[in-house]
Amino acid sequence: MNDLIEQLALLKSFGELSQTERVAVLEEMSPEHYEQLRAVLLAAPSLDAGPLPSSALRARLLHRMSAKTQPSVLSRKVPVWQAAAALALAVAVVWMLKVPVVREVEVAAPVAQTRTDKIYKEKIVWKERWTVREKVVYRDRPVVPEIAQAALPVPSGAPELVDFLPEDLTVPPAGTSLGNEPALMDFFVQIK
Amino acid sequence: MFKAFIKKYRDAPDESLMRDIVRCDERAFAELYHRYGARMHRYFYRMLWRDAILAEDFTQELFLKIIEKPHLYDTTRPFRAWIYALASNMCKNEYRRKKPADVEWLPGNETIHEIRLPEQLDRQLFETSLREAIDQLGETHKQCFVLRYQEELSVAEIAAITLCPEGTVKSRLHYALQKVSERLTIFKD
Repeated sequence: MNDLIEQLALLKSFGELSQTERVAVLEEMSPEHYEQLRAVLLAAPSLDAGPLPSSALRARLLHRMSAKTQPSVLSRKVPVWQAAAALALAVAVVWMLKVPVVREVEVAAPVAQTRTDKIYKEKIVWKERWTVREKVVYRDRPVVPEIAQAALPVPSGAPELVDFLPEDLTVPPAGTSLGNEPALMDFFVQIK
Repeated sequence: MFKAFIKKYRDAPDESLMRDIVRCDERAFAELYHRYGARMHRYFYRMLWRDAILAEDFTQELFLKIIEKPHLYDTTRPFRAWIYALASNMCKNEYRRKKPADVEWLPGNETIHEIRLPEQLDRQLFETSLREAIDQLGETHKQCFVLRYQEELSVAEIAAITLCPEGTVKSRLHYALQKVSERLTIFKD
């Protein structure tokens, strides 16, 4: 069946065909077959048109599309100047709210120690001229260890003794008597 | 200005709308759905045993594919052929999934042998018989018949959809028409 017959069947019934058209049709099929073909071709487009899709389907699809269209917060492009401004603002806020840093010094708990001194008493027995040495008593006294003293917190910025010393003063070695160091004596007198 | 904006979409060819959809243009999608939503629903309805729920599900799936993977469309190809090809592939998969024995005829589709032919041709009876005659066609012949005589696509478009030469499509159409006519011979008089 050629396209011409299909076109004719859509437009004309067999009775409406011209003589030439009839000849062309009859070469391919009988008039009954032509009418049947015409009936099929005319009925087919409107056959099973079915219901329209629901409006909810359209709404769902459009919602899905809009959800895809809206970019997420992470993927949103921020202008450079806005990023720089935000960074500068953050730095300024941090600087303004800066809390003074307290230096923590680990202080060792003082360890109580007891030093025991032995005291001996000598007794001379003249009769036999010999000396008796006997232990008489024990005296206990608490001792703060040197390490504990070293671990005590030193206030930062507190003046030290060295700061008060004159520049030309040489510190004598430990154990030197103040009497032998008049300059040092003058210094202590000056401080009061 | 707004009217011009609307007109831009309304007058745009399908291919141009698809290019806009790739760029996540909502209005382009709305316009495309306006053009093809009902049409594709009707195609699924005809191809999938006149099951309205199934047709709606397939329509949704089809348009979701367009939303999620618009880049799969080759903009150099005609859009209409592409969307019908996509829909036809979905129908093929459904045919494979659902064996013919599983398909139940929907109410109102009585077999032709049970019908007592009235003296005059009853249009409703004829349509019922025609519907059944189409259903009895094979998968490929039914596809060609529906696309050509119900969806009113050209032979060239059907060839592009089915990836067959036009000659093959014509041959299938000829066969399909012949089979349908044979089954409707009771209406000859």
